[in-house]
Amino acid sequence: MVIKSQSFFAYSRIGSYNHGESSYDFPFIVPVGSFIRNNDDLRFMDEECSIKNVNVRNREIKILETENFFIPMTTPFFLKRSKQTVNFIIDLKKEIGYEKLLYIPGVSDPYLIPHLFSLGVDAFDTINASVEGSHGVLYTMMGRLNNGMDHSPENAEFIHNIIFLIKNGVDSLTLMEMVERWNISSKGREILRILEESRGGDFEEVYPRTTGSVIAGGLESLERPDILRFNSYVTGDYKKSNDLETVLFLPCAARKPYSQSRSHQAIFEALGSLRKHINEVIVTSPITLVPRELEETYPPGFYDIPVTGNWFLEEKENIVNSIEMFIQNNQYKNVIFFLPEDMSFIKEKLNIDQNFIIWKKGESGEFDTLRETISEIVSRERDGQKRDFLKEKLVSIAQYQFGPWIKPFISGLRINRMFNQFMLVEGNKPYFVYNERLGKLTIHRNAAHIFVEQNRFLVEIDNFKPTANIYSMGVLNCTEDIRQEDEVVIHHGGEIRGTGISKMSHQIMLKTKKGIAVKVRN
Amino acid sequence: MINRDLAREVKSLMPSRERDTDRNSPVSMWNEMDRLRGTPEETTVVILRTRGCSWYDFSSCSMCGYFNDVNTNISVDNLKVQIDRAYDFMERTRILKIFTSGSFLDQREVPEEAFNYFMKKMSDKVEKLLVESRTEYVTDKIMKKVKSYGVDTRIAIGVESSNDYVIKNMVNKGTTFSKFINAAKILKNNKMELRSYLLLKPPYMSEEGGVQDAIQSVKDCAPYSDDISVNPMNIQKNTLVEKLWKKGEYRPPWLWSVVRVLLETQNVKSDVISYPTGGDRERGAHNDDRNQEVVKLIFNASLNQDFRDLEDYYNRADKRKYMAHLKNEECLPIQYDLDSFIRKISAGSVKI
Repeated sequence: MVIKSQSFFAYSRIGSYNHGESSYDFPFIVPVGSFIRNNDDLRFMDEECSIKNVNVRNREIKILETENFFIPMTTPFFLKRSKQTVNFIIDLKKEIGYEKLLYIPGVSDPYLIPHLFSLGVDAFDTINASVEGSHGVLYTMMGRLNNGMDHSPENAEFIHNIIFLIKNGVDSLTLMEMVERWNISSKGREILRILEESRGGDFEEVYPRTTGSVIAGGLESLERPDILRFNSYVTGDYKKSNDLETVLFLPCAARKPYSQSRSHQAIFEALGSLRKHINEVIVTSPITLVPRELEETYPPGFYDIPVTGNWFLEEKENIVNSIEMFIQNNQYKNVIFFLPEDMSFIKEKLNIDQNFIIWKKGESGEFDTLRETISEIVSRERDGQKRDFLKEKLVSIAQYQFGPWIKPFISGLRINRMFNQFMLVEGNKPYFVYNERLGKLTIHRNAAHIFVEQNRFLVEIDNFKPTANIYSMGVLNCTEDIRQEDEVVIHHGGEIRGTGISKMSHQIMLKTKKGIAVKVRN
Repeated sequence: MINRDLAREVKSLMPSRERDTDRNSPVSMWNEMDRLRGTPEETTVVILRTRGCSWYDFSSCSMCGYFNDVNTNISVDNLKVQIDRAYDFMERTRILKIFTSGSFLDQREVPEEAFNYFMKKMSDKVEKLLVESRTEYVTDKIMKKVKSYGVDTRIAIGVESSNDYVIKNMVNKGTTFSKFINAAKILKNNKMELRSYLLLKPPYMSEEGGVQDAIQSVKDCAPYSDDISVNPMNIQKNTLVEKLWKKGEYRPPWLWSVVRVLLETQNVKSDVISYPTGGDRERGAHNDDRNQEVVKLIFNASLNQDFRDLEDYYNRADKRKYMAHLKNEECLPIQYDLDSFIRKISAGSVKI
């Protein structure tokens, strides 16, 4: 095992490995002439090859194994069928693990490289670049340009640039954005959709809890694991933070969190203390519903979408279904919508005959009807008690972040403000610190015992004192709920050794011995 | 000598050899140019319909689809009728090449009675004869018998490659190069002529590997052969090669490769010829850009043993695609049709 270091984004990884005296970075481009053949004897990158049979989807696949690589001895024709591509690579990875690099010769179509990298291919080549180049095809960022000249060198350069960019995509956790945007080949789009739809379960298991960016561009974004996680939480496990019986649905805003947008500020001003009596939920896409107290978390606090006032049928359907489920799950008696004209499809689809107020932005008295409606409902009910918005927010975020199981351990905590940060404290001891920038809670060592007792978000390490980083080599075990970028508790045999942020999903953490598994918080 | 897995796979693709084809008519007859007497002459070719190669009882060669032409119920009488028809077909030619989807000298395929009938009948018309055989039927006894009819005969043997690894693991011929050498020596002792057939680009081999294998094989066969026929792969039905080709895992050789083998073996002692079957077609040797001219030049050079025009044409041609293909294939651990793959994979992408 000679991988020196590696870091992940879902199945993709960057890092370096050693061979002899030299060190190589990956993902990388296999140089021309890397295979040396002599009848049955084959060498790759100056490494001896042996043949190994691996069972992938009930098919025996011959694989070349070297010191650092696994190379399937299959032709790349599986790429013709994207379903086969996705299944083959994901299932192959399950068999071969992460201790060696996966190279599949001949699949390096520049318009598919980011997608194949997302599936876990670690090494690429310039074979296609050279074949197509010699046929007069120039790779460009807008597609294939055929002008009959020999473009092999430019095409190889093009591949190098893509590799450079996807490496950065892992570092900055923006690889998914690249894959969604690199849309020159229909095959690429197919791979992405099949990965998210048919293999969504597997993909979610390795997908980071938070990423560097969510510029939700199209329908594919509806299936992104991070979006799906949030949507299914809100329409599933989510419970309102209080016993209020009135919910107000509002439109989204470009500025995040929504509260800081001009439009939401205007609503706040118009409603004043009436807000105490209602729960607010923002309607949007591809995240469908965002309860106000979750608006600072990931992804709702971080996404952007193209806004045109038109909605795809699928978005409409998602929104309407989510609203129905949400109202039912949280048993709201009074439902008020305050939405722009382009969202009146909700009214039609849900067959609503009252309390659907069209927000005519900019008109005088635009908030009058809304205010009157709420006032009327509130006056019918008893006067609300004092309401702690901040506490509701932190408890709600904790439940989203760690799961509903945490509620009883957190509801009794008090809020304290220290060093310009909000904390959930027990007595004088900080338990959780709210990171406002990331919209999430960090676990303080004082609260670590809760996680140990509940067997959640735990990384068990060998008997050592963790310093800055825990390498996966030192990890003995971890709980299945862990995804990359999660807050975790580090322990050894139940004895707490620290807290930190996981840099690998549980599956990968257990399958590789190289790379940082947890960044330790001091 | 035999790769069992390969043999089994080839066998599994073979259709039943029970047929209801006309047992009295040869598979095919035509006239073509060849140089069996050292100069270009019109030559009759007859493919007799027989029960087929005895190797078929076990398996077949990976490229051979001649089993598609056999009929298991061919009697001696049927063969005699076919021989009569062949005889009648030879109107102006005096040179005959007899093919049989197997070995003419194999008595299970061409029983002694039919063989004697053939030799006797043809001896008054045929001045030069070529028959084909696997090495095992080239024995002193049979050679003496052939000679007894006084027909000047050249025996053609499918060597395919002089590399036993290739023969065993890529061609599935069930023989070895030393068996060929033994057969060649028997022919020499009997003062009989030998034409060696070589296969250019067996499956599982890169283009460059195929060229080098063919060049080496020409050199290895030359001391024993009167002429060497380099046969670029053509895809025949129901063969392993066809199966690979359909999956995109095999591409017939480029015509440039045929040219290279011919040009690079000009100095060997025997004649080297190539009449590419299916040349410039999808199932035969072809370049990326279709070009009948190369095929014509290959034929003419082979026929006249004058390679100057071919060499000149080759040197002037734009061979960049071919060269890129060679280089790229060497980057692959297994072989497939790179161009066909890339065509398929780039089909659904933006083209400016």
